[in-house]
Amino acid sequence: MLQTDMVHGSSENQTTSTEAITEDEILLQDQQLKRIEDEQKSAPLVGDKCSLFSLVALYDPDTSSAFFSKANELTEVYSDIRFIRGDGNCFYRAVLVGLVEIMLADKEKLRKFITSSKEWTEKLVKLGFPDWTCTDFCEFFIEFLQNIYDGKDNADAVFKNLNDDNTANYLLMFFRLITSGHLKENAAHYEPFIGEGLTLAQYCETEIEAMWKESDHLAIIALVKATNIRLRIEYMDRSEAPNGGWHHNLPDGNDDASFVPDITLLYRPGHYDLIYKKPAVAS
Amino acid sequence: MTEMYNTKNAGVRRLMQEAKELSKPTEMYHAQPMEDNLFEWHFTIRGTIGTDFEGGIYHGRIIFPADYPMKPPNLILLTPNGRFELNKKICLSISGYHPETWLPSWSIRTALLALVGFLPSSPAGALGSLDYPPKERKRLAKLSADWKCKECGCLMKDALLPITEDGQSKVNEEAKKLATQVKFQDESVLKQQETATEETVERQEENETAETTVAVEASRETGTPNEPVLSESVHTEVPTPVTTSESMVQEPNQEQSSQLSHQLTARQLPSSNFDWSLLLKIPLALLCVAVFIILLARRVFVENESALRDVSEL
Repeated sequence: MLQTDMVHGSSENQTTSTEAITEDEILLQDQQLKRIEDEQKSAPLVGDKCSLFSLVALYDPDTSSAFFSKANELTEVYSDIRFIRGDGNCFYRAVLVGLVEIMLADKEKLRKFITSSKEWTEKLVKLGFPDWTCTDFCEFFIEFLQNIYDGKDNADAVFKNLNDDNTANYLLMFFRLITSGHLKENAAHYEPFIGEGLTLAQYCETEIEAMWKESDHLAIIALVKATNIRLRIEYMDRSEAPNGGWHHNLPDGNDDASFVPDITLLYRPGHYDLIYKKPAVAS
Repeated sequence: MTEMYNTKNAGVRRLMQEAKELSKPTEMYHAQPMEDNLFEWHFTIRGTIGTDFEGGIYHGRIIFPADYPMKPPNLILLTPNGRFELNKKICLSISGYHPETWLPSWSIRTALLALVGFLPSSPAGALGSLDYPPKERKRLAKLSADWKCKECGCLMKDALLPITEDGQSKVNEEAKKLATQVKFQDESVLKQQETATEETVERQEENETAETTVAVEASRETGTPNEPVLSESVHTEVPTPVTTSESMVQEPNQEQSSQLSHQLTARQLPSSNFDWSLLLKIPLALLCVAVFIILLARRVFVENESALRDVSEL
């Protein structure tokens, strides 16, 4: 009590010194934040595909036995992993990379996705997304796909783009926009799931259209629907899975027997990476 | 300029597109890049009719971060206006490192309109903000017409299209709406508010009187953080709560700032405010050391004495 009062007293009387302190504090804070950012940036946006055993190696069998055994279990079904930078965009980025990989291998799917991206551009305008800036993100994305389709960019060039902060985040914004677009298009359906007294539009602006905001379950459903993909998420921690199992298929209502996912993500608390199934062994 | 930049770069493309969109002055705003730097622009905005800034035309700089539009631009006002300090970064959405409230789909136009809408709002004691009386602001608004930018040579009264009633009301609606979404503050405000919150929380814990609780409740109901507050005092300094009665004035910042400090919990800094308890701790410590030395000296003394006695007895 005494302490705070005295601090108040000092800040009232010595205005100049308070300002100086504040500026020092800002400097310090900026440095700290810069360090966090640099630390994030030390990992590539999209890592190279590598063996899933590199995931097993991250866990100590004694101190984190649960993760260690789950990682081992995953190696029985999956062979590779692609680590994605943990900057709050990892879900969108993982899906983006997964989709681009599919389209690099399948020209027909690429053509279809270009068409649907063009449809999304028109839809976003109809839904009242601001100005020309939104269409700008769409056009950039479509141009990126078109370059692959026309053979202007090969896989190397594509992955170079996906690892360039500026380009990659521009592409990623398209995914955030169509996620938001899908929610707004089906507002009546999704509105009841939004808590905390937010409207759906507010939720979309603060949680989805803003960069570096992590995706929640609603965003995941919306992006899956907007891109029309089949997604499986493997959970390292059973308690995190919405259905209480080890994995979750999206869109909902798909049982395991018939479900062949286009993209599989690995979820570790707070983070998504891409994983790849072992090639089917001819028996 | 086109040759100087990599036009494949998404951010560069975007800025060039924005320069094209804003190439002609409008009634309310105008902005163009500097000749030698695409990442620095100069802008001009018009104050809203019916506010202290009516008739004012204000000029400033926009500094873009390398990863614009993912992160917000920084605005700096150059024309005296009585609302913001000059030559200081007014950060959109608090700071470049907290881009959460900035949307990449917003544009320079959005930022300028938000600034127009934000001018008449109460500074509520935010650092970097000025709370000049209306008379002074009106005087500055009148003077601004003859203000000329030393850097780009732009004369304020010629910078924008002549005003029409109809055109302005349309833009102003948008500006007002945007101002409630976008927060313009000096970046230091963030830090200030955090400290203020910490201190207030501390204070509340210490004297959990009904009075304080009521004050908090009441302010929660008053809603938006930028709402004009009850203060008639000229608040240009730190928003540190001093007395319980003043906490009414402080509270509107609370919800916003507690949210901020929540976001920042992992990055909390040790407060560099002077720790007044040191005044007590240091003398106490010195006293302890002194007592210890005296006791030690006494012991040595006593031993020596007995040794001397032994010698003399021998």
